Amino acid sequence: MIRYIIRRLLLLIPVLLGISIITFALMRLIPGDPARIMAGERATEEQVQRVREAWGLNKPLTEQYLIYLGKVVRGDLGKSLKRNEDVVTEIRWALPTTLELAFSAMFVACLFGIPAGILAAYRRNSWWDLTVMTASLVGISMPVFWLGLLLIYFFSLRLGWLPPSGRLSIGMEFQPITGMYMLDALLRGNMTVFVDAVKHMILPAFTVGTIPMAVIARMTRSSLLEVLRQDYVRTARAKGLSEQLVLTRHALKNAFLPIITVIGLQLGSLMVGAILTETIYSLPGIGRLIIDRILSRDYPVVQGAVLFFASTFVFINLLVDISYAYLDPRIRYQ
Amino acid sequence: MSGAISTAALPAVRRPTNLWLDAWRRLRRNKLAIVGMVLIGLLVLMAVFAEQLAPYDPYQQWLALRKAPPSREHLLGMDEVGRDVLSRVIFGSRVSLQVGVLSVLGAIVAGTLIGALAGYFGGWFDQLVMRLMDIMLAFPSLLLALTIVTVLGPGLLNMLYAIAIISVPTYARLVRASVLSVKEEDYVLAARAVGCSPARILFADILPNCLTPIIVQGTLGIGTAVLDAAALGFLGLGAQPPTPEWGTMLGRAQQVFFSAPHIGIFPGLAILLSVLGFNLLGDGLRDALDPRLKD
Repeated sequence: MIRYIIRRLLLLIPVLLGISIITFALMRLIPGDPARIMAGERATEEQVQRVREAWGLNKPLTEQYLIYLGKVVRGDLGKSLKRNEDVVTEIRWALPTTLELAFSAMFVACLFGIPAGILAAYRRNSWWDLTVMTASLVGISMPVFWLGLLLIYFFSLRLGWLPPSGRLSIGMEFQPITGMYMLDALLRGNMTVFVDAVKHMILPAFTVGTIPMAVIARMTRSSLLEVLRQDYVRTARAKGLSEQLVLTRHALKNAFLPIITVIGLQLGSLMVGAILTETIYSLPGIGRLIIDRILSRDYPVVQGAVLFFASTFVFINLLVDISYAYLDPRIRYQ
Repeated sequence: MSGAISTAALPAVRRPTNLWLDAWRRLRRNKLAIVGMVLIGLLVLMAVFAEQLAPYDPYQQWLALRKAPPSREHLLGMDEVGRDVLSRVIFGSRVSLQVGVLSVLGAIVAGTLIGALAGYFGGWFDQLVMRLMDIMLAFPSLLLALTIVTVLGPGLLNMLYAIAIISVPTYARLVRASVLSVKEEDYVLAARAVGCSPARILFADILPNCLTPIIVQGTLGIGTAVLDAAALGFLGLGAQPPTPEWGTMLGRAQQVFFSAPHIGIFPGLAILLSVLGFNLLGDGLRDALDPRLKD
């Protein structure tokens, strides 16, 4: 197992270097003088000169890249143009929102996707199966941004059940710890804030969670159907176990491996969903940060946030692979 | 038992057939695939006959009718600057279909070439190219498209390039895997033995065998491309106003969505149905072309 992890970590190095080359190239490919782009349109000649010196922008490209890489490794992603902050600080502010959204969305997706898939497989060809499969087909084709607007329209404007945007109601005050409000409210034991934070997260979580939910439901169904055909399930039934025991103890346990993989594979769709959803619900996360700063030409932040987002994605994918290898020893020895 | 065998007792012999006819026969029996084909058919008809179908000019503004709800004259209502929503949805099919088909075709051509060369020649070239593809796949798809659009600048054509580029790795991997699996088949060895050039072997003997996964992936890919294009348009980074593009229309409708939801509902519905169409047909094609995969 350790050897497998080490091998996978080593394979990660070229991918991470590749990501850094792409984000490095981003700055150089935008038309114009990179030093001026990084210093901002309104910077003085002196400021531009200082940026040029600091990032070695008058040196050959390879050297520029090495300087960039050196800074990135030490956690220096440059300065934001819009606010006088380090890019790293801006990312740190935005991260908790995105994490909270991603976790909530995954929770919602599993909470509804897995049971729906189990029932569909178990009552195969029933109207329930048909409903779940049709809903998941539509869910997979859903434009996330449209769904977000529809949910706000019905649940906030028409029914008035849930707030349309933001993370907390105006006037709601408390001291965050991690920046993930639901968790912080629990840690502080403040139930009023907790309920408010949950209410604000429900619509965004469903918006981001719909596609993963649909994929998980489909995968659960087909994986369980596959297992239910196996000999050991027939044996379990033949020896007189109750249907419930057959399902929980024999079938589900074996059906879960592909489901876990598919949950891991949904991370990409989760991150893309976050980019679109944060924009709709005015959530100050990393996705919104990227879009905002592309539109306002704050390229250092775009560069840093893209680098961060892509590296995180790679690391989480690795974690998924490792947990999969842990659960299924055959993979380790390939 | 008598010695003679009655021909009537023999199982009915199937008409001689080929892969495509067989696949078509299976596809026709798949209800969901039919639904997909109908949806795509409607989309294509809408795009081809947009001028004849649209009741009004998609750019013409009636300032007095801004945000007007659906009525008998304007079936889907008017948008935030007083243009006919139905006409804009109809013309929007052109943009979506073109972006979807062209970006996927571009990605297939580039991806097939890359994947075929990497798979056939192997060695350092294979290693280099496939690592590059891995790096591209390391980005969540829309994030890479956003990065490319940041460099190229927003716009319809740049969005098309971005979407084509992000889908190249999928096809490259697919074709490489197929090439690797048929490279050692006897008929390829035979072709090599009789002295065929590598190019001939690759294009005449190997690539035709990779066609089915490309067709399936390409169909599903058009759906994804339509969705990605709409997302970029929605974010203000794709087609620019006043181009009638569904995602851009939705993005513009965002501010007025709650006072005039019809402006956003119909473009979104159009996106959903188009993507659904390609997904259904893609799934159907997979089952029809590769019956082994079906349960």
